[in-house]
Order: sequence, then C-alpha cells, then structure tokens
Amino acid sequence: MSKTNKRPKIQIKNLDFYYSDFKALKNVNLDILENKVTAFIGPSGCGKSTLLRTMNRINDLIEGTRIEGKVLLDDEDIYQDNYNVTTLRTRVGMVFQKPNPFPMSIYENIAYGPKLNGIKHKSQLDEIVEQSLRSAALWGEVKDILQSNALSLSGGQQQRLCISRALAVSPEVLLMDEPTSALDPISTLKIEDLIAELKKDYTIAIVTHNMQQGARVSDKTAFFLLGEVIEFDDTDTIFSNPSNPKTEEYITGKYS
Amino acid sequence: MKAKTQDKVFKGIMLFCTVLVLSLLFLILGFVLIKGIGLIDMHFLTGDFDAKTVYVDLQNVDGLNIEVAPIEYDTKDYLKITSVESGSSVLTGISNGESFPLKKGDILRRIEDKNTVGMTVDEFNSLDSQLSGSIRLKVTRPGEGIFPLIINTLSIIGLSLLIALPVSLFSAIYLAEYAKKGKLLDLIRFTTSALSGIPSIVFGLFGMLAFVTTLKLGFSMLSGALTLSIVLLPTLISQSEEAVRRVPLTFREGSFALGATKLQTIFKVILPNALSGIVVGVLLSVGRIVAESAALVLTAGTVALIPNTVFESASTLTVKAYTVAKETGDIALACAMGIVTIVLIIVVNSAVGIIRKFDKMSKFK
Repeated sequence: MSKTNKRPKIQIKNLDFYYSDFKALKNVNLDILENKVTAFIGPSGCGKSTLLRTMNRINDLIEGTRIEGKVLLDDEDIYQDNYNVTTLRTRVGMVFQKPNPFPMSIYENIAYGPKLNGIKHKSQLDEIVEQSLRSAALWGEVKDILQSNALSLSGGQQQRLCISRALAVSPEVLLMDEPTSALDPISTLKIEDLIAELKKDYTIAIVTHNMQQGARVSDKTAFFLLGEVIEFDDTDTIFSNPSNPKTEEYITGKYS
Repeated sequence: MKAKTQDKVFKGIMLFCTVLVLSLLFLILGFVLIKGIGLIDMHFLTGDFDAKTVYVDLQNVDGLNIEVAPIEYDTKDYLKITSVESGSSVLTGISNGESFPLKKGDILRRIEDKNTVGMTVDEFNSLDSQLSGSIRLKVTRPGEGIFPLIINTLSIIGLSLLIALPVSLFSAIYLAEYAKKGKLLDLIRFTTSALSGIPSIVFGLFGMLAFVTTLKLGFSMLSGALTLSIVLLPTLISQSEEAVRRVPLTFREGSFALGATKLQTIFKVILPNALSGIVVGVLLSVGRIVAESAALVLTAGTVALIPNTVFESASTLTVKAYTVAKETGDIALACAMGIVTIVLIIVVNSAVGIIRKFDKMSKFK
C-alpha cells in the first residue's frame, strides 16, 4: 500500500444526495486515488451504489434526484452548470450489477461506444474491438464468434464483454457496481484477476457485497452505513484493525 | 352430496355455453365457406371486378387457333374461349391503340360482322377456317374478379401506415421517454384510450366532413387513408409506447454510460429493441384496415378499379363485400370475398402470434 502515486483522481466533497425527500448520502468526503482499486462496502441500502453512480452522473436518469456538495474529477467539478456529461461518461466508464450487453453482435456491442465518438473506419474499429477484448481477457474465447449475438455468451463472459465495452472508449476511471453478484464462483475469480490487471492502467471504484472480494481486490476500502461513510482507510487496516466498532461489527458479520 | 350436484350442474351449463359458442362460430364460418368457395378460382383472384366489352383488332390472321365452348351471358348464348394455342394471333390483339391479348374466359360477342349469339362450336370452327388477314372481334371480358380490390386494400394499408406510423412513433417516444409524469400525460393517455373506443362509423362521418368535403379531396383513396390513419393512431401509439417502455432500464444505462446522448440511445438501442412490439402494433393495424368497412364506405368510395392516383375512389375488399351484399344481393360473391378477407386476417394474426412467441424466447430472459 505504500506506492508513491497518491494523486486523487476523484474527490468527493461534502456530498449530500437526495431521492426526492429521502436523503441517501450524508456529508460524504472521500478520495479515489489514481491507479488504485477503491472498494465500497456496507449493508444493502447504505448508499454505496448511489455514491458510485454520482461519479458518472448516471443517477441523472432517475427522476427527482438532487445533490449538494462537489464531485471533482481531476480537480474539476462534474456537477457544475454546462458540464459535458457525455464526455464525462467516456472518461468514467461503468460496469453494472447484472451483465447488460445490448442484444446485438459481440462486435457491435464493443464498437457501439467508439462509433458514438465518431470512429467509422472498419480497420480502426477492428483494432479497438480486439484490444478491448484482450484487455478483458475475453479475446481468446470469442475471436471466432464476433458476429454472434452477445446474449448467447455465458453470464461471466457477458460481464467481461461489458467490461471490454466500457474499455473500448478508453476511460480513465472504471466504476463497477457489484460486477460479480450475478456470477458463479469461477467467473467471479476471472473478473477479480481482471481487476488486478486493469488497475495498472485505470483507476477503479468497486461496490461489493462480498467482503472477501473487497479484501482481495482493493487497496482502499470505505465502509458505509445509512448513507454515511463510517470509516475509510487502507483495505488491510479496515479488515485487520478497524478503528470504528461498527466497521468491526460489519466485517465480522453482524449486519448484512 | 349437495355440493357435488351443484358442481355438476354448473359444469354442465359451462360446457353447454362453450359448445354453443363454438358451434355458432363454425356455423358462420361454414356458411361463408359453403356459399362462397365455389366462386374462388384463378379468375376470381386475378380478374377485374367490372365486366369490360371492347373491339379487338387482329393482324395477319390465319385461323384464330383457339378453342371455344358455349356459355350463357346476359341471358343469351355466346361462345367462351376455353384455350388459346401459343402463337395464336389473338395474343397480339389491339384495342383502342393498346395491347389487349385475349385469354381463356373471354366471351366472343361478334366476329367481323357476324353475331355469335346461338352459334354452335361447329359453326364457329367452319367460320374460323375462313378467317385471314386483318379482322375485328367484339369481346367481353367478364368481371367479378377481386384483383383490383386486393390491390386497393394493400394500397390503403400502405398509405394509412405511411401517414400514421411516423406520427405514432414520435408520439410514443415522446410519451415514453420525454413526457413528465403528471396530469398532461394522464390526459393524453385518457384521450388515446377514449379514441380507440369510438366506433369507426364516427371516424367515417368525420372523414367525410373533413377530408371529402372540406378539404375537397372527394371520395378518394387519400381521404380513406387519412381517415383510417386517425382510426389507427390510438392502437399504434399505445402499442409502440408499451414496446418502448418495455426496453429494460439496463440497456439505457449501458448506453448512457458509454457517453451516448438521449437521441443516440433512442435510435440505436431503444427503437431496435422495441421493434418487435412496434411490428405487432403495425400488424394489428393491418388487420383493422382489412376488416374496416364503415369508415371507408364514407371516404374512399366504392369504385372497384385500381385508381391511377390517390385522388380517385378505391374500394377495398370489405367495402365491396358490403356493397355487393346490400345492392345486388349476391350473397355468394360477398361470401367469396369474405373468405379471402378471413384468410388475410388469419395470416396477419398468425404473424402476430409468431412474433410475440419469438420475442418472448429471445429477449428479457
């Protein structure tokens, strides 16, 4: 944990988040460090997914949501007026809880993002597709069936396809919302290996329900309870020597 | 014991009702089928509805090379062509400057100045052997074919959808994706569902007033199509809106998370995924048009010809079945048209069924 690179990629400052009248996040402050994996843990409904979803403003899709406070990406507030949300989302990619490939071919799924960004040349797209699939450790399995429907893949493959799809627009940050909760143990392991590989090039924030997973893959861990960050520290510290008794209660299995 | 008897009595009543309904259905279908099936042949499906009598000029005749048989037409005995040899000069017939090849089923009324009333086949053959050079025939091509009606039905389907589909698609997308929940949306929903309950004769009266007289489009294919597109709007809008809404949120999130704008998401992810639902709406509309008569009688008129432009009257199959039954009392002919209509509807409904089944299997598992 003692790498020198400690630059915060994303800074959350005094963040409050509301679903209509319900206050889902209360005065959250934390930094997501560059090229580190930051895990959010906590019981259901504690606000960890909500926080993740503020970082690419995907919560904007839900009617009646409102935020107070700041989310800074490279020191720039992403909630300021006239901020380009489209560009934000190409810089901050997201992988969802349930694999959600579009019902089109594997190739088209990955080319979707680059095409939106105006890349039209077949050769260039081919290259991006191959590169993204390699990065998500899926190329070997699908290189001969690129034109078949993405829904014909297994759940684990679909999730890795979704990761490649997110990588295809070359993001700087990757948000993962319980990416293995719908997968079997072997697929889960593959995704965890992948996360370790990806953090060399990307900054990663991951929400997980599985505490062992949090301990295995992350460098920093934040523990959430009822919309508040109870404790945020190096993963090793959180799991071996938490300073807050509530954190200890959670990781020893008293909530969930 | 008492409960058991009650159970049996009610079961009996239910069975009786089911049998009654089924037998009524089969009675109707059987009636239409038995009355009409005898009329259905190639000529019925491909021929003109109105009979046509013309003079046909033939060149370089050396015998007509056709076979004929006697036929009663318009209360007199004439000769009907039963087969035409290939290379026969009747195939090069010209009427009013236009090519008019004679074919099987045509009735010979006059050969040069010789009337064919009461002529026997032998008399014809001996006359035929003397024919040479340029001659003129008077020929009647009998009607009661439904080809123009089928073409008109298809054209009105196409034209109505051409008008109604874009409008309903855009409305559906607006309602599903943009409109804020609230009173206005409720009002729009109420209006569309109320519209779909209005009997089509009311739309017909409106169309007659608005398109036929006020806009001076007359009884025309265009008036009919415009009226029908209004009839179709509620179904098309609610079907398409439902289809757009059914596209799972995860697809939208996936698309937005890749930096797509709302418009890009709608056209690249939502619409392709809503397509099968929209197609079902379109097919239901096609069924509705095929079955529609009241709204069309009052707007598209009853002319059983293929119109040259959309500003001319064009009767569909159902409209003609209605007028035939009402005006000439020819129930057999109306029933034959009914059979074709039923077949069309069955085809459309099976297509809907197949798409729905396929849709369930392939998506949202």
